[in-house]
Amino acid sequence: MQNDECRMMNSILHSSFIIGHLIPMPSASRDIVVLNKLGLHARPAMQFVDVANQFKSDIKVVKFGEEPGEADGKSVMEMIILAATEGTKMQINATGDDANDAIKKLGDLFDSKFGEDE
Amino acid sequence: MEIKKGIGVSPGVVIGTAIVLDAEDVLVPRRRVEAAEVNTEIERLGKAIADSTAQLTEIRDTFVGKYGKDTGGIFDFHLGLLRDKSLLKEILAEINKQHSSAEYAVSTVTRRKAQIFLDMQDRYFSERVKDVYDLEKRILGNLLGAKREDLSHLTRDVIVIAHDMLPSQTAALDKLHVKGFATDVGGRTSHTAIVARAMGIPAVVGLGDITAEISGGDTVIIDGNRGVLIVNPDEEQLTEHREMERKQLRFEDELKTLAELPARTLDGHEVSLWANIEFAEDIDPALARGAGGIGLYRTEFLFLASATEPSEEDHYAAYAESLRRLHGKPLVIRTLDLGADKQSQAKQASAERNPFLGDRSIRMCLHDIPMFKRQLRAIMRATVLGDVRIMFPMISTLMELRQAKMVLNDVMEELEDDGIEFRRDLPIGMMVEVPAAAYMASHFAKEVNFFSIGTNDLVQYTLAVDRTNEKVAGLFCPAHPAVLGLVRDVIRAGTRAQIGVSVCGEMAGDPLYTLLLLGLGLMTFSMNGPDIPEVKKIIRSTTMENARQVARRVMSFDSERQVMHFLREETRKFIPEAF
Repeated sequence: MQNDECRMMNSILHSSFIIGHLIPMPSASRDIVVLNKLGLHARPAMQFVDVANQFKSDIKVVKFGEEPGEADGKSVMEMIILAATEGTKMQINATGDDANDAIKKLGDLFDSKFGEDE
Repeated sequence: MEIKKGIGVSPGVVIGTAIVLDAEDVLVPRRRVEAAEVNTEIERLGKAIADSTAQLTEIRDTFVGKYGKDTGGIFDFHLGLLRDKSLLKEILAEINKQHSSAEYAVSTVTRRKAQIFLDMQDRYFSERVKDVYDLEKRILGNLLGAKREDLSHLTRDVIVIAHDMLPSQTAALDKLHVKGFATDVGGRTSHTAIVARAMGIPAVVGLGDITAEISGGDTVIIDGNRGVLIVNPDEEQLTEHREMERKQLRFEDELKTLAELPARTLDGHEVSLWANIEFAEDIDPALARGAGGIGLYRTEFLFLASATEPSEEDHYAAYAESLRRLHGKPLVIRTLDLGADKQSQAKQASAERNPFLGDRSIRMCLHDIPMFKRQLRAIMRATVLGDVRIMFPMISTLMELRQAKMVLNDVMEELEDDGIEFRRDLPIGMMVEVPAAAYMASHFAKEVNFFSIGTNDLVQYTLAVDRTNEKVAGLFCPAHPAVLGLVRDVIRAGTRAQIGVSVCGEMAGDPLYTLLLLGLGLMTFSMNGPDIPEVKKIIRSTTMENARQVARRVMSFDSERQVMHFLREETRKFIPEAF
């Protein structure tokens, strides 16, 4: 089942690349909380997406809470549509060869409040 | 095939290809493309995104250079959206699966996203909808870049479909290739209608929501006689309307032979039939239709056609050009008559609560004397080139008229001081279009050389009907006995004072009212060029005595329905084709 999901997702994202790839991909994930006062607004969302795009792994961001949602971590439109305000609990999932590195770098962004004071 | 019913405001039948303008003057593109064109659309999209990226990068760099690194964020965000693969994939899916045009696909997807933002609770996130709109506008701008030009440089015949035509839009149109108009809103005297009749092309207005239903490239039939628009007609409809097109051309040919003949009643009364124009270029076609002069030169189009206020030289050039084309025939120049319904887009910013009763026309001119003087100087300088007459619009009090004449006197003195030649004895007239002026016509008659009755505004102000509001436009009717009473009184007052009287509103060119106006003693009619032959035909078919009888009968009625019914019966006797 997981293979099917994985294959489907990948065939959407890199359709030329993965048909028939049945070995489970490495994956990693991390729970985070949005600490920025304005939430995950345009600038941090851009920063997140820019970093996410440096990796080959697929990045999914899941938002918990009253208005749950899921976004492609490489799409700034989807990230901003999550409308993650301050205090929102989220989970970053990475699937791919560099999943661990991706999660570390992306998690650091949240820890550092994307370099903002508030 | 779909048949839509609206208001026919300019007669004739035409079959052609639609172009659709949206409220912002942007051509709304085709919605669907053929399967074979999908790849072309994808290429166009790619190029538009690349162009948008280049433009935004440049803007960002300039901004960052000027105001520092922190200010570039919002552009980075827009650039981020432009390289967002998920978003692009969604747009591509629209093109691939729905066969949407690139423009339509971008619009559909961005509007979908916009709705999500609009539904958000958080204000900061919700406001990002502006960024989405901004981005849509930029991409569409690049996609449409070349097409935007089309409006002023059309290469094929088209039928223009719009919400409403603004004067500034019609001024920019390539009139040679526009064969018909159809609009969502408007009434018989809306700007679209006036322009269409002046151009002699069919128009149907008040069609509801046709801009949303017609795509550019659709074949449409406009039947201005019956007020009908047919979208993507079937073979039967096409055949029927082609026949109507042919019949109408034959009738027009017949009317054209009238151009050479005098507008004289059977018992020998000569009537002057003049034309209303907006541009000097309108003169030649008007003369070809038999116009004896220009009874109304709407100079506001000099203001509307350009982004800045015209200079004295701009005015002078236009008037000199008109006089050159007229070869000694009279030219009645109406000073600036910018009003609420003819506002350029730039000026709409300072909207008035009640513009029809506000600072417009002569009032506006008297509030801006330097601008008013620039126009008056140009008119006075042109007096040595031909038969120039000047006319002040929207006069409501004697003081206003005297003020306007005083400014004109100032201008004459200044010209004299400057040693510039002009004719001091040019005829000075006024529009009678405010009921107060009509009521006091005998007083005004002592201070002007001629009256010109502007029936459109006179009807609007007398009946308290905004003619551009489709909900009440039905109440707008020149046949209302109150209006007819005022028209009669003004003609009578002018005739008694032995000054010229003309009617330059829509009424003058509507054959329905020809017998009545003639019978009331009107000897000068000023109308759109294409209306001249028909009016002339009626004048040449009747006697003064018959017209007087018709007028007497009409003035005894107490409702506009009776008036119109009777006039229709009487007029049909002379031109059965018209009704």
